[in-house]
Amino acid sequence: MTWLDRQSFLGEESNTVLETRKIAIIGLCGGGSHIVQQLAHIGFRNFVVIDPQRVDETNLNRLVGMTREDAKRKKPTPKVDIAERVIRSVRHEPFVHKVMDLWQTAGDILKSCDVIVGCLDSVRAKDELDAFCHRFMIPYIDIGMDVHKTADGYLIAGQVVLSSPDTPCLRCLGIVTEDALKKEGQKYGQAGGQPQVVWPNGVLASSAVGLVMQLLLPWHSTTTDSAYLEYDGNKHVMVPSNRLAIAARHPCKHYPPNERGDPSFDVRQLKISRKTTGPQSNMLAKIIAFVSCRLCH
Amino acid sequence: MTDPNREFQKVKSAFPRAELWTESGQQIVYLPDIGIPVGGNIQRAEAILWPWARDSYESRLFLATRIEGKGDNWNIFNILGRVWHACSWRGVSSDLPWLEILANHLRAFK
Amino acid sequence: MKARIKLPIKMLAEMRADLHRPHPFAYERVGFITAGACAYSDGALLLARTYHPVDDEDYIPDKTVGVKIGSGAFRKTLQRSYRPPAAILHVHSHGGRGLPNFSGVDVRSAREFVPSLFGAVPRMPHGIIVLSGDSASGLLWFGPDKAEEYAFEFIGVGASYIKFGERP
Repeated sequence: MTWLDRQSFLGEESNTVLETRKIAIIGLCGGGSHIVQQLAHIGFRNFVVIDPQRVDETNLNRLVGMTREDAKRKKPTPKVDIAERVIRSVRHEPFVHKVMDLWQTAGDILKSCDVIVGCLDSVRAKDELDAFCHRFMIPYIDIGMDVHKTADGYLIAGQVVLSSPDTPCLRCLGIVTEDALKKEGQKYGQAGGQPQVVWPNGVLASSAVGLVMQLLLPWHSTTTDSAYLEYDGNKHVMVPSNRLAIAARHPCKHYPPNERGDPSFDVRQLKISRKTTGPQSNMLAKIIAFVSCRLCH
Repeated sequence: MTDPNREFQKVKSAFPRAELWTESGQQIVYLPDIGIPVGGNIQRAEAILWPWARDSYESRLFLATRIEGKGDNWNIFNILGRVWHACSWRGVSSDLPWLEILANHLRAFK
Repeated sequence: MKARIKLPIKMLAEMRADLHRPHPFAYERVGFITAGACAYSDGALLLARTYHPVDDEDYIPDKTVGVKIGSGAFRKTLQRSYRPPAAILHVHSHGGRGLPNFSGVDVRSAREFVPSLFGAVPRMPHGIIVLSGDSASGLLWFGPDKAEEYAFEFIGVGASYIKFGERP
């Protein structure tokens, strides 16, 4: 018996997938902390966790895994450390790559990820991450929640989006708009500080994890490469958004396929490994072996 | 109406190693090595000229590294998979010729 | 150099269907993938952009080989790969299942034409891919004077995310 026995319906390949796929979670507060916890419980081994911040007391209402002690320390605990702690409390010998910095600085490690989940407040950050994921063909799952003042109180709302190559991006779906970017830019990029509570984050995070699982370990045949789920926290429902069907009628004009890759890439500047096949490398290997042998004697 | 290819040719005549790249469907200019007047000196820099409106700016200049002691409100960006830096420098219209856009942005570091 | 090749799942299905169409005289059909590329700490990634079947008119009858294509096929591919610069990957299928192998003819022929692609697109890698029903193999050149290397693995991205064709 093993700790993953109750999810054996995910198939014979599931252990291999859980051992080998690498998932990045960017933003480790209300949404991201739930996602990290769930993915650890499912049994994923390889994590990239990114957040530049240390916790403060105001995170305690929603940051899963955080304790009072984390905030009370002279130097409060970094959010990446809490994420790692949660993973290690569940998962045997995980590989946790921590980046206590803006995700924009972690491009190299992110290119090696199989799925990226973004739980970012900033519209610009979402936009750039979406662009990054489309350029390097990484499925991107974005979550967000808001609390809006209404005539009779407040509306808790949110969304979960799966954006893959050749599917509607966050701009196609109206989640990133020029207007929102402009307003944020006028505040020099300051985002956050909005109302945030744990239970909608839990709903959104769980749906995001469901999308991760559907991509990597589908348990049925009607999987999808894109999703836009809208959450109404007052009615307690999550429904597919009409916007996706409308956006999907046309190819994404923001990230055409010919933009894939790094335009500065140049093979002539690459360091090529010596371990190559073919007659030329065989000759090189023979020369090296001959010289080594001569040096030994 | 800006003709990107024509504007790029003008930039390329001044900076022969410039390349025209595309990000999010927009054509931008990669400048692998430009000289930036900083104080009385010239600092070499790798840059991206973004001659279109974005993030509430009419145009932007991104640098691979910050210019220390110059420019306000520096921010970090990820463009084309790499880290880039830009300071806040407003009011450089995207209607200008691209070489003028570049020159105006470089004034931020004088 | 650990090189991985990423393709949209839809493109993979499209290619398999296309390459299995019978041709009036060629034993096999072939096509070309154009791809972007990037380097990262773990090696290199080739990111498929487009797939184009070789047009029927560009096949040349030749009873000594399974398939022969003319300069027209290469000219069209190079036109698509020049701006922005694209990696060019010749692709065909051996059918069946499991990790496919290149034939001696495949490799000999590729060693002749792949290095010449660097003349037109010198900054990108180029190579050949062979598909089976559920896997693939790739041979890549990272320079006209460099020996070919096997692609480490393939990654299909789309409604599901799959890895296949892994080399030891």
